[in-house]
Amino acid sequence: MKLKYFFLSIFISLSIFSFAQKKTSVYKFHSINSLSLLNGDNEVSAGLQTVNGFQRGNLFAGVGVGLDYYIHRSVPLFADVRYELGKNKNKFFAYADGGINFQWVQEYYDNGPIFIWDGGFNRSGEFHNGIYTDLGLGYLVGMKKGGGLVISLGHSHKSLKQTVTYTDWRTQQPVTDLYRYNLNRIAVKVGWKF
Amino acid sequence: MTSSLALLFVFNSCVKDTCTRRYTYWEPVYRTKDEVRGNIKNNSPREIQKPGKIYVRGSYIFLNEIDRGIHIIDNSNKSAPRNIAFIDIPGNLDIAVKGNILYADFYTDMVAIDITNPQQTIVKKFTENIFPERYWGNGFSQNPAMVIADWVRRDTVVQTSCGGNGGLFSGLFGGLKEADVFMVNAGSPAAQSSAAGTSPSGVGGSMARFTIVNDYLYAVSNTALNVVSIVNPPDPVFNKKVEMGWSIETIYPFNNRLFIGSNTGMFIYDITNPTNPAKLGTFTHARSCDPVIADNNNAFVTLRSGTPCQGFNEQLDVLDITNLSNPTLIKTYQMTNPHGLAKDGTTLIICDGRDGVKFYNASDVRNLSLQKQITGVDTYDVIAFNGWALVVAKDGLYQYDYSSLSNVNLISKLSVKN
Repeated sequence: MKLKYFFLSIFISLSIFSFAQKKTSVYKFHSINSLSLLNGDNEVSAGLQTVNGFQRGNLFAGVGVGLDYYIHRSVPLFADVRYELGKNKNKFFAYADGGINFQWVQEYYDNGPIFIWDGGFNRSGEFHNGIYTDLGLGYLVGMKKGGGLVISLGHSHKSLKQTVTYTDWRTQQPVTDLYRYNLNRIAVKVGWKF
Repeated sequence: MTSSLALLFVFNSCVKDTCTRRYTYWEPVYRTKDEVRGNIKNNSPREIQKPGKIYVRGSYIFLNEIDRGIHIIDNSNKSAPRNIAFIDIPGNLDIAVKGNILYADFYTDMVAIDITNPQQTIVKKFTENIFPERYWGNGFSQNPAMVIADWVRRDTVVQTSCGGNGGLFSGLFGGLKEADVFMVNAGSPAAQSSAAGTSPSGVGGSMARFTIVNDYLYAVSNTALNVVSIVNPPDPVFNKKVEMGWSIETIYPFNNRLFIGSNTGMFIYDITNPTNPAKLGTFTHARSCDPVIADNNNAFVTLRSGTPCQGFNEQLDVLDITNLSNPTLIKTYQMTNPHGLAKDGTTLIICDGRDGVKFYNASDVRNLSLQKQITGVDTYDVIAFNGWALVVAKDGLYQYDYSSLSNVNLISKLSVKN
């Protein structure tokens, strides 16, 4: 499933890239790669992401994929839109991301609170994908060809679901608990726009 | 100042994680003891939902509905059994019959019921506090004045911990402080295993914890063997308790002996002196649930794993018990998830959980020969005699004719309500 979306994003990026090359030079390809510090209610964590897309004038649109280690590791795949303010080399911008948050939980017992002792078996259950959003403001320290150092501050949200099925001790029937994780963080990103 | 506080509030909301857990729990419905006692009589028949132990007397089947009571089934026509009445006995798990009296546990107490006319049963006596360990049951302590008569399913959503190692903002604004979730599934009495018992008037399944030998009822709890005198059947009198250790599961009588299954082994007790059971021998095995039956020379012990049983064994152990003080293993047969079993002459019948019911020719115990396997049924316990088998399964009560092992026929099925 994850691979399917990954290849889909590559395909979309390449399609846009080809289209842009054929049409005119007003569309310019950029790759924005950044590290993020994720500060939330329950953890300080990190992530990294790459956003690839095209810019026309002050408007940029692309597709991004990342690794997000906040509490439960996940892989967000999202659409990214950003708008740069002004025509100077150094300028502020606003951005918005939205997409799917693919679960990639690992070493669960080390960082998660929920496991169920079910008569000799520890059950962490099954994780399910959720949504990913990120909204914020940033500053571009411009270098050559519209690229440069990018720093930003934003509010990032990701969600996941977890189902844990175990045997009810009273009825001896299987029951399923549903956990919903809605995780909100302040994301400080530092990256480079190529 | 006001704007700063407002900003703090907004910021706090922005970084607050919200984690919830939706789960199911069962809420007890309490009744007074008098109310519940007054309702122990023939009530309208109910659909079978969670079948437990079985007992057969004449043309009637007494089927325990776990923790709720006893179904009375008229089986005079085996191809069309009729569920004719239900006796409400909260906390009931086990039953046994002597003559016209049925004995049933009722949480900590035991009730004796006259079943001379199964269509009009009469309570004869309550014997209190025979099973004190049932004071605590299903996660609830019993109020001496009240009884848990039923359970109502509830679904609920609560806030829960999100995990994490502590956030930058948790100290500033206060994060979730709930305790981590750690749930323990204890073994349910309902899931504990059993063994067969016989009485002058009836036959019990192989998962029973009650058995009757002559004038005494023997009932195992998790740790002890209770001896109850039924010299005068309508007036049972508690006689004594014999401590036996932990994880006692099943009891099976044979020739003045009691074969007792526990999680860690099989114990043989001599009841020549019926009020003073004396331990003769022990056979120790790996930790698992182990219903046991026996004949003159052999004991048959099924070992299974599962939530309350722990362990990883799924097998049938055949033991040599000619020397009762030193039972020895003859042979182990691999099974899928064996539960109750029964032996009728040279036919050994095993409920192998999701693998159905298996009929073996056991004339040579060193070489059991599978004659017939009925699949597609998740089986739990069996009573068998004279070519007729009554099998309790997850989805119903089955009756088979096995007078010819090459041609085992389904006589009828009484379905369990889903």
